Amino acid sequence: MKTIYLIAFDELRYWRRSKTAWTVLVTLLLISVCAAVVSNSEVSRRADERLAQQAEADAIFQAQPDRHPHRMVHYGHYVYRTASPLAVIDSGIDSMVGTSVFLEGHRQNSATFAAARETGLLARFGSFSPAFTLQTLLPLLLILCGFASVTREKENKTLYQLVGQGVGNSSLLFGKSLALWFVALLALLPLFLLGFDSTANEEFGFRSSLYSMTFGYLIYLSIWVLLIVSVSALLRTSAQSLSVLLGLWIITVVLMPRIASAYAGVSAPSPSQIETNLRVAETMRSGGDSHDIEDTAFADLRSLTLAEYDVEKIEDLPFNYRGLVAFRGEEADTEVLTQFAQERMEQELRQKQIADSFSVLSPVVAIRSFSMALAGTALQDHHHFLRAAEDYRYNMVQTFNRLQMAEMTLAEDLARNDSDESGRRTRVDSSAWTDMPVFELRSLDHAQRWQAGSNPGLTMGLWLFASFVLLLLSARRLHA
Amino acid sequence: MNQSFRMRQEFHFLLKSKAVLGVLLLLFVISGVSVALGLNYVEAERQQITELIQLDTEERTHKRSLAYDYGGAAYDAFHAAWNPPTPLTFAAIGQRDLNPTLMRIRALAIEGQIYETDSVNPELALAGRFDFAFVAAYLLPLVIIFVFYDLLASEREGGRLNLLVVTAERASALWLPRILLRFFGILISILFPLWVGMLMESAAVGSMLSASFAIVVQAVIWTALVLAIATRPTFRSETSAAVSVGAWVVLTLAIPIAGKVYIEGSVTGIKGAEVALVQREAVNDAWDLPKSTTMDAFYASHPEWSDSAPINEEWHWKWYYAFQQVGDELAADLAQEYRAAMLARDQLTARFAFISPAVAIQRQFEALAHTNLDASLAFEDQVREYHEHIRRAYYPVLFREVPFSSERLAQIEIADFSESAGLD
Repeated sequence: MKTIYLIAFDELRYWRRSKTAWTVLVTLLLISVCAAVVSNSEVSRRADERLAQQAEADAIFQAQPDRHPHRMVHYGHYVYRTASPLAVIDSGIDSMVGTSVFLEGHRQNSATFAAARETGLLARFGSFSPAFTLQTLLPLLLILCGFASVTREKENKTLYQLVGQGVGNSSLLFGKSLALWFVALLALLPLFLLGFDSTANEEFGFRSSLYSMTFGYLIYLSIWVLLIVSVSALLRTSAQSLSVLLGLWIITVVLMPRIASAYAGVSAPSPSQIETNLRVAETMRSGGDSHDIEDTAFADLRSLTLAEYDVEKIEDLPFNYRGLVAFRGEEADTEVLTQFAQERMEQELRQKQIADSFSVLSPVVAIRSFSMALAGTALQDHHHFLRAAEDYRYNMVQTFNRLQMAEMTLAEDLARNDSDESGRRTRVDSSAWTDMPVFELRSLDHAQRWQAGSNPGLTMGLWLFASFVLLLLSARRLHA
Repeated sequence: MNQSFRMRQEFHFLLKSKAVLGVLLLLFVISGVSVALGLNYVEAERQQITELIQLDTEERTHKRSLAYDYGGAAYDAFHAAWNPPTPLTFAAIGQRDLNPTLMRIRALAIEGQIYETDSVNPELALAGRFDFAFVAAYLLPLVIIFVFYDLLASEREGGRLNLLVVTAERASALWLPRILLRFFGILISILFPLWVGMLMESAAVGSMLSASFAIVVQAVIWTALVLAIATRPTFRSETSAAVSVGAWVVLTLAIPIAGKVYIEGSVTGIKGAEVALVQREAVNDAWDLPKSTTMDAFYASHPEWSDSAPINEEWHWKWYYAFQQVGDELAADLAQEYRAAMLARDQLTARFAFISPAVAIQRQFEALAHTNLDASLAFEDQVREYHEHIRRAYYPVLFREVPFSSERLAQIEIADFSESAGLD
C-alpha cells in the first residue's frame, strides 16, 4: 500500500515540474469555475422568468370578473414548469421542452415555446454546465494528464529501475491511477459545493440526489482513470497511447450519444403530434359535442339521469342538466386524451430505453442518463410535469362544470344569450376563481429519481469492474 | 525525383499505413451512416406529410357534413399546412424538429395556432442530431488532426527526417505529395456518401457544388491549422496532437457554447408565450366588451365589410370572427418583436461563425438545406398568408348574412396549402 502512495506522490511531483500538467490543471480549474458561475446565473434567470410569468398568469386568472363558468372553461389557464434545484449542475432536457402549457376544456395542449428554438443553431452545441464539463471535457483533460503516465517510464527506461527497486506491476499502475484520480476529485469539488448550495432547503430529497450524483460522477471518472492508465501500460510509446485514447474519447464521448439517440429515433419512430391529434379527433367523434344537450351521444345519459331522479323532463331535475352534460363530456374526452398521452409517454420512454442500452458501448451514455435522472431534469420529470398539469386542468374544468350544474337552472342557462339581464343571471361570483388553488409542481422524490437512474448506474458499475479487470490484466502484461 | 514517382510512392505508403487507412474508412462509414439516417428522417417526414394530408381531408369532410351554420363550419374546418423537406434537408436537419413543420390551421386567431410545434422526445433531441452537418463540423476536423498531426514528428521520431530533408530537392517535393494524397483521401471519404445521398434526392447540381465547396473550405482551414501545429520543429508528436485537439475543443465546443451564453444574455426578453397570452386575453376580453367596440376595430382594418348589418343579438358568428382578428392585430407588434429577437440572435450567431468553423459550416449547410431560421420564418409567412386566405373565404357568407345551405357551403372553396404556398 505504501508503494502505491509513493508512486502516486512521485507522479504528482513530476506534474509539478511539467508545463503540460500545469496547463491542464489551470484549464480544469478555469472551466469548472466558469461552468459553475454561468450555469448558476442561467438557471436562476430562467427560474425567475418562469416564476414571474406564473405569477402574472395567476394574477390575470384570478382577476377575471363574474362569469358564466363555461366561459372560464374556455378561458383557461397557463401553468409553467419550474426547474429542479439541481438543474444548476445538469440542466438536462430543460431547454429542449416547452416551459408552459395552456390548460383549457376539451383539449390537452402540449408544452410550447422551447428555449432551444429561440436560441437557434448554437443550442445544439451543448450547454456550459458542470455536467457538460465533467462528462465531456474532463475525460479529455485526464487523457492529456495521464496518457504518458506509464509509457513515459518505458521510453525513459525508468520502468526497469522501478521494477529493480521491487515495485510490483500492479502497485505501479494503482499508484499512477491514484495520482490521476486526485485530479478527478479536484474537479468534483465545485459540483459538490454548488449542488450543496442550491439544495439548501431539503425538500423532495434533492440533497440525497446530489450525493448520489457526485458518487456517480466519481465512478464515471474512475472508469476513465483506470482506462487511461491501462492503455498507457499496454502500449509501447506515448504517441500510440495518446492516439488510442483520443480515438476512444471521440467514439465514446462525441459519437456514441448521438448514434444512440439517432438509432432510437429510427428503430422506434413516434407519430407526429398532429397525426395523434387527428386520431384523437377520430376517436372522439363518437363522444358527441358536450355543448349540445340534444346530441344523440348523450341520449343514454339523459334517460339514465331521468330514471335515477324519477322525473319526466330534464327541466325537472334538481340541477342544471347542461352542466351535467358538460361534466360527463369532459370526463369522456379526458379518458381518450389521457390514453393517447399515456401512449406517447410510453413511446418516448421506449425510445429512451433503446438509447440508454448504448451505455454498454459508452460510459458517457450511462452517466448522461444517470445524471439527468438524479438532477430531476430527465424525461420522466417532464412527463411528471405534464401529468401534474393535466390533473390540474381536469380538476379546474370539472370545478367549473359543477358550478354550472349547481349555480343556475337549465332554463336560465338556455336563456343566457337572450338579454343582458338573463346573461347576468348565469354568471358565477368571481371568488370561484380567486379561491382556486394555484398550480404547484411537486417534484418527484429522491427514491423515484434513484429508480430512474438505477439502470444506467448499474451499467456504470459494470464499466468500473471491467476497467478494473483491464488494469489488472495490463499489469500482468507490463513486461511481456 | 519526379512528381509522379513521388505520388505513386506516397500512394504505396498510404496503402501500407493501416492507421491512416483505418481512419479514412471510419470517416467514410460514419459519413455514410449520417447520410442514411438523414435520408431515413426525410423519408419519414414525407410519409407523415402524405398521411397528414389524407387524414386532414377526411376529418374536414366529415366535419363539413355535420355543419349547420357557416361560423360553426369554419370553426371546425382545420386545414393542413406543411413545410416539405428540400433535397438537402437530409444533410442538415438542424432545428427542424423544434420548428413547426406540420400544422393545421383554421379561421380563428393565428397567433394562437402558429407556434404549435411537434412534440419531440426531448432526451433524444438533447444528444444532438447525427446528420451530415455534424460529421462535417465535428468529425472531419478530428480526422484531419489524426491524419496530419505527426507528419513531421513521425519521420523525426523514426530517425528518417534528416535523411529525407537532405535527399529532397525542395521541401515541397518532399511533403506536398503526401499532404495532397491524404487530403484528397479525406475529401473523398466524407463527400462520396453525401454525393450518393444527393443523387438519391435528385438535388440540383448547383447545391451539390456549393455543399462540396463548403466541405473543401472546412477541410482546407483545418488542414492548414493542423499543419501549422505539426510542422513546429520543437513539437513532439504527442504535443502536436494535444495542441491540435485543444484547438478543436476551443473552436468546436468552447466558442459555440460561450456564444450561446453570450447570445442568450444579450438578446433577452424573448417572450413567445407572451404573444400567445396577449392574443388570448384580447380574444377573451372581447366577450365582455360592447360588440360595437370590437366591430369598429375590425371595420377599421377591414372597411370592405363595414356596411354589414349591425349586431343586435347577444351572439353572432361575424362578431366572433371579428374579435379573433382584432386579437391578432393587438398581438401583432409583440409577434413582430418575438421574430425580431430571434433574428437578432441569428445575426449574432453569424458573427460567431467567423471565429468557429464548426458554426460556419453548420450555418452554411442549414442555409443550403433550408433548415435555418430564415426558412422557418418563411414557412411561418406562408402559413400566415394561408390563414388570411382561409378566414377571408368565410367573410362573404358571414358579413352578408347569407342564409345557411350546404350547397352554398360547398361553394366556399379553400385552396390547398400546396397551392397557396406555391409548392409543387
